[in-house]
Amino acid sequence: MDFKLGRIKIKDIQFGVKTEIINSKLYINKEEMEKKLRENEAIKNVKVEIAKPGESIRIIPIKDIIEPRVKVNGNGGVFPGFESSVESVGEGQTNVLEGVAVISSGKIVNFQEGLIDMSGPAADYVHFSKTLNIVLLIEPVDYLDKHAHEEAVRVTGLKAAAYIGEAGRNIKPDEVETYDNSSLIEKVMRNMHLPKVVYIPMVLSQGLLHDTYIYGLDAKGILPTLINPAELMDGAVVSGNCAGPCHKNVTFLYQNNPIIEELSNLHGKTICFMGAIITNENAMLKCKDRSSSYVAKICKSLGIDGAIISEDGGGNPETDLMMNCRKLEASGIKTVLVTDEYAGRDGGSQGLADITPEADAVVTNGNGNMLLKLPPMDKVLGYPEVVEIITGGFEGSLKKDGSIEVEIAALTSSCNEVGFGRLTTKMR
Amino acid sequence: MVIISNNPLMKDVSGTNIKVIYKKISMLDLLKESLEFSYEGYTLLNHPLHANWQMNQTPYKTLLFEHKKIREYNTTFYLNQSIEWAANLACSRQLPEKWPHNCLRDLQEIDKENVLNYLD
Repeated sequence: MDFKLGRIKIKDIQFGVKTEIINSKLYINKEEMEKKLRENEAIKNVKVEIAKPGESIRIIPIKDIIEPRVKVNGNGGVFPGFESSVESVGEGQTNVLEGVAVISSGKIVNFQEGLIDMSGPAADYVHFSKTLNIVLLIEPVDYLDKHAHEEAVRVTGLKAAAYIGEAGRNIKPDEVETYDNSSLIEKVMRNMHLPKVVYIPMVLSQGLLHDTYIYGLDAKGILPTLINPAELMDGAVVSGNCAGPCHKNVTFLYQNNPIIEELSNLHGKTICFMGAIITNENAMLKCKDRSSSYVAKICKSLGIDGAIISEDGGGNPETDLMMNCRKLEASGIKTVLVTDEYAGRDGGSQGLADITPEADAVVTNGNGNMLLKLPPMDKVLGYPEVVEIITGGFEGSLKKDGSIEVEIAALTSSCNEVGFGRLTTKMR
Repeated sequence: MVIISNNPLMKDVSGTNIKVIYKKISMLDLLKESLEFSYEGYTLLNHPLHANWQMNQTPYKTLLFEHKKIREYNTTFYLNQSIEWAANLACSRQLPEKWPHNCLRDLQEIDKENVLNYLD
């Protein structure tokens, strides 16, 4: 069964007496939603706020961003392993509330990660300054263990996205996109003359606040595995990564991956898109070695000609990136790497923590060290006071008038490594 | 296994065949001393840049070593590379001189948590 994405275009959101969609407007019953989210015993309080493009609002910190969706038919449900059973997804139809994002926020630790401005210069760098945002300010019960706290915030974001997504169940989508779910053999037989290309999304898997989940399974323990790109689009991968705001993959980016979108469009035309091999970025060098060897093994057994590899985060994941590149190139498989850089304020320093001569085709999504001055905002949702210890912040970042001077590393998803961004390169 | 760390929370870690060397020094100095230590025949087990934290975001680092007859995983390369990366990032942004105590405590806990996963 093919996978269909039904896009319901939402033009505005407001609080109302019932959570529903009428004429492209999403109405939210705030009290009902907050009550539902407080059902988690680890949560003391949740406040639901709305932030729209152009408003003078700053959201800080950002834990995760999720697109509201509902599974209309086909196996499984949204966010398998969390909101739904662990049944495999990626078939049937899923409706999307396009233009809406659920943003989870709240203190887990005392250093804060990520901010979004809904207007001003920062808004030019971040896609989520242009979405209609439902912001969750989540407060846990007292003395909660940090693991339990992180989990509570994570699942609350998913629950909120599922709750909002339900409003789209019986709405006729404005457009429906269909994704080919043929078997690998069928794909190859129909496209024998085309190069076989695979996408390799690397996901961070290094411990508390640095984890990713696949069907609810902690990615630290996986071997790389073949996964249908439609499964990613259908919520099989969820982020627990709360560090490195500019280049961490929030859940929204797994649901909306431009690399998958483009490869799917090119399938049958210039390439035979064989699917995705999801792999982890563990802290132990032996694990990096094992996973990269296994990725190469899967690619060789599939007869892959070319691979696009994307990163999640920065620093030591660049070692995973280079190991994957080196081993695939040694197997005769051409690679393209998708990353970002920390190349210094002037862009003149080496931007990656690891390199290899085989990495001769690299796409960068921006330099996280670029400096920006952000004006004060009329309203702040969250906790602005520790911006000086946020990634991209520094001593003196927060000015007395509420304005901020930060590197774009502080802006959530500004340099994300799947290309869902607003930065580009001009050749002189 | 030998644990070299500047994280005070790692002082209390113990286990079979685990030795903890705690040093109250900067992260950059810890990396340099770890490089010297590795020349005694120790293989680095975890990446020096482990977790998503860049060198100018946290003062704490814990490295795991094992004595092997033949050093593996390009220990010298990763330590040298990390020293260079740390020095570069320090030019871009220095660590704050005064962090709130509760913030430092959280950074210590995250560093420890992310290493404990691999100590079983």
